[in-house]
Amino acid sequence: MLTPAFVGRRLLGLVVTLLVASVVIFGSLYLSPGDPAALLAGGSTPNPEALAQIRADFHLNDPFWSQYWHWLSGLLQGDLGRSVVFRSDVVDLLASRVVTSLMLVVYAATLIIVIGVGLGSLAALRGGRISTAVTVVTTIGMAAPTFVAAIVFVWLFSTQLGWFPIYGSGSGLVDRLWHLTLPAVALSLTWIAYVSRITRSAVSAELESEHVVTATSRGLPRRSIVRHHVMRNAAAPVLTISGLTVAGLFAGTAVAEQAFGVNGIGALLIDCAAKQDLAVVQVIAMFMVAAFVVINTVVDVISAALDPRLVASAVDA
Amino acid sequence: MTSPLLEIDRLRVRLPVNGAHRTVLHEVSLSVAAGEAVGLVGESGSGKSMTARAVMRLLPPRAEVSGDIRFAGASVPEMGAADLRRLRADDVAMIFQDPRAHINPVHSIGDFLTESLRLNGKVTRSAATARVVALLKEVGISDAERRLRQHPHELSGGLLQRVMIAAALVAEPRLILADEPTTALDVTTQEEVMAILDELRRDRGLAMLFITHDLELAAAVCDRIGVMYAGSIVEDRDARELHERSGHPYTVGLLGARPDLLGDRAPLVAVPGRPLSAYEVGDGCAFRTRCELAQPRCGDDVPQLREIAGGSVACHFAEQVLDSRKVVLPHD
Amino acid sequence: MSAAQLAARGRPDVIRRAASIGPLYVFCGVVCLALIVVAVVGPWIAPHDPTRTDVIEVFAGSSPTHLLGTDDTGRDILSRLIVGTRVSLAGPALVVLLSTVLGVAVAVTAAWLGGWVDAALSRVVDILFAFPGLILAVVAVALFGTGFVSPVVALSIAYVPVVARVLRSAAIKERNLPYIAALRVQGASGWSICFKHLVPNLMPLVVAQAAVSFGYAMLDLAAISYLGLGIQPPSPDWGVMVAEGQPSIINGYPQQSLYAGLLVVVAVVAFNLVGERVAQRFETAGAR
Repeated sequence: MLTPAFVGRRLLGLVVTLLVASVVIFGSLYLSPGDPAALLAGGSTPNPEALAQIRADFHLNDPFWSQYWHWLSGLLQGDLGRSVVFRSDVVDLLASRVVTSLMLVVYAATLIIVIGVGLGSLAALRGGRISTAVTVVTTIGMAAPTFVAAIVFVWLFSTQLGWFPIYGSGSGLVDRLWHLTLPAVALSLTWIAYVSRITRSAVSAELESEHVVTATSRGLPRRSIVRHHVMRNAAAPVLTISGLTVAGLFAGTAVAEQAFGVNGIGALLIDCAAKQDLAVVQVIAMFMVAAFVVINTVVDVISAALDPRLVASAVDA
Repeated sequence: MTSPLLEIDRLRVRLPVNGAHRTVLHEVSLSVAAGEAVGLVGESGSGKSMTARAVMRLLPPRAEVSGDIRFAGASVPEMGAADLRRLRADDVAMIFQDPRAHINPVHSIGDFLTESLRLNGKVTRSAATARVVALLKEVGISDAERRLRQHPHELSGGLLQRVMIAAALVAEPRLILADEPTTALDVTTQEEVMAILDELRRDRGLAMLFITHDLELAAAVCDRIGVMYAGSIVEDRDARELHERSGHPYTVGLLGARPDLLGDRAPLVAVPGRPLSAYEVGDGCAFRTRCELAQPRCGDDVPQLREIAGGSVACHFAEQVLDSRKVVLPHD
Repeated sequence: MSAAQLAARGRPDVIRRAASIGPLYVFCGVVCLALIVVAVVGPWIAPHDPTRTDVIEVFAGSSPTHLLGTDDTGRDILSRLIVGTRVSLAGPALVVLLSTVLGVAVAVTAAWLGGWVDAALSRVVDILFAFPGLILAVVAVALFGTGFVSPVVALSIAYVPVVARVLRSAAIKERNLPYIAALRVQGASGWSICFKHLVPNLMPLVVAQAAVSFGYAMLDLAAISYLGLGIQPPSPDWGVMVAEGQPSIINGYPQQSLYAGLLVVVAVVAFNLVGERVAQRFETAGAR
């Protein structure tokens, strides 16, 4: 049973991890040997007045912890700071892009979970030729990194087939989804293969488990054995792996968006990194790390709700 | 004589191992009458568990099975899916050795116990729960309502095995297959659990096929004993007559091999040598490599089960064994 | 003796061993070896200067002079792939080396000292897990600029938690073995026990972990290069070549991107399969 103590511990761990991560990300400003003000100016060498302005804007003359507190409380209140390179508030840079990236992640996550879990379960439950076919498909999928899948898609669909738009983000919900199809597929291919392999082995292990022999010996209908004893028991490990995969997708958007010219936060992150716009990079990095940690925590808690043994072992530990 | 409830007739089973098929049961014939308890005794690997699984058709998918198994006259190997499910759901129940592995860890005890009633018997959850609570009290679990809400990892092995016994009884079967039901438990719990199983079986007049490596235990709770060695039954005899009239050297060895807990200070005589697996048996008698009486004849000629002194024995020299027990059993 | 048996006898030992490994792994092993050789001798065997442009021969198709054709500025694609091999393999090799050294240091320190040091290091490792390699690399590039070094160092740090976690539990098991206690009783110092006994005994696991990491590091670095955050053009690098060729795909000249992308996939798959095979061998060796 899910105890408040278990959930509380996970939440505490989440907050601690996020706090430490935020110190690391903010503190990275001081890892670089140069002048932080010059760094925030994007590596260029602006005139002294401009540098003084940046120092004032970013409170660079304050002690470190005061600066950090200013930055963190700003983040929590929706004041994400200002990009010197783009001469714009970071909030404005992110506003429209976050929605696009979220759509891309949700799209890819849906593909990963539906197709990955579907193929894996099918292979495990049916076996034989279907299993072999799934092995072949997943082997190819595992070997298709996002950027290579992307150029193959661009080539296939731009010059050969022309079914999907190759670049851009589109407008309106349906058109945007249409534009996001190829990026989502390119982003999800490897992970579909990965999740389907994990699912297949989890479901196979449950199918051969002794408690399924018991269920069979009691004359239960095959359908309910598969549902209540095989799939239900495989759910926790499959969910954990899927969650880890989906949590990592935010970082993966960088490649998919860049490859297909999608205007999301991933592409912005790369652009800002190349231009050394640290103010924006810090915010996006923090956002991606937070998304990763939050999704993982949620998945941990759901897995524990699905498998009571996990709570017991966590409490013992 | 009326036809028995369970009749295993020249059962032969081969299992796929690394591509090749290996024989695990050579020729097993055994019957259990209604209300009768039959012990199937042998060392590990002798095929006793396989025999029980074959009765429920729980062997691996590519197993080759020949011979026949009849339950109340109906051939189990020939049953269609619906009849097979009815057999498993209503007529035969199995108790497994390791309850921790054999009870689904993610569902509550209540779900596990009521599941078959709800799905097979179409009983409502509340009615099923009421029946299950009564049964749990019978197997000696007093705070049944609380236990129903717990999960398997919160219960001890002994309690879990009682739950397993309750689960077997809940469908009111006619035959129970108990596969080493106390082996995974610690010694004190073993006796309690065995006593509960024995009592409930007798009260209900159920038939039981009791699988164990412990000949004395089997003799104590069963009416008749089948002794298995390397995939074959070598002796089949009334449990009360076993000590005086066993006719197979292996049975005699097993009787001597059991440590006597009553402090009789009898020397512990194990059966010397390594037990053979069924697939290792070539021509001749499987036991000859460990047998003191082995003669050249035992290497060529497979002894068949034959009627001797009220039981059946598969040994060429059964008469001599019966006559000269003193030679083999030093403390006799 | 049959002809087949005779033939088997006559076969050199290498071939017999290869047959027991399986043709797929042998093929992958050959690919890996070939790539390593090309990485070393690449500049001398490239048929053309990889940076020499030729305005007349842009987007040339396959021909005896340009086996894989030329790119948008008339540079020979094959030569660029060959010369780019060195940097494409050196990056992952450095990542594996650095992350292994750091990971072993963290794991052995945590396992040996135990107590609050172990707790603190484990916590750091947990938090580091929350940083995907790509994010660390991007932050590093934002701080120190693009190039070969920033992504390699950032990825090395990102790979430390994986190495450290696996090795820490193995190191703890090893530390609790009786022979370590015996060495302590004999008065051996912690340093000498760690370096002469603990680390050498962990080596099979270390090698296994490193072998598996190589393919992943290669993939991550290629993606970073593709994003334009790693090696900068005109230096040839596979990831960079995929990106450079992309605009030409729409004009009907996909060869540069496709060949470079294919090479990345082949190399990653080959190193991954060989790595996993090596890992299996070493893990069973370590288990003994």
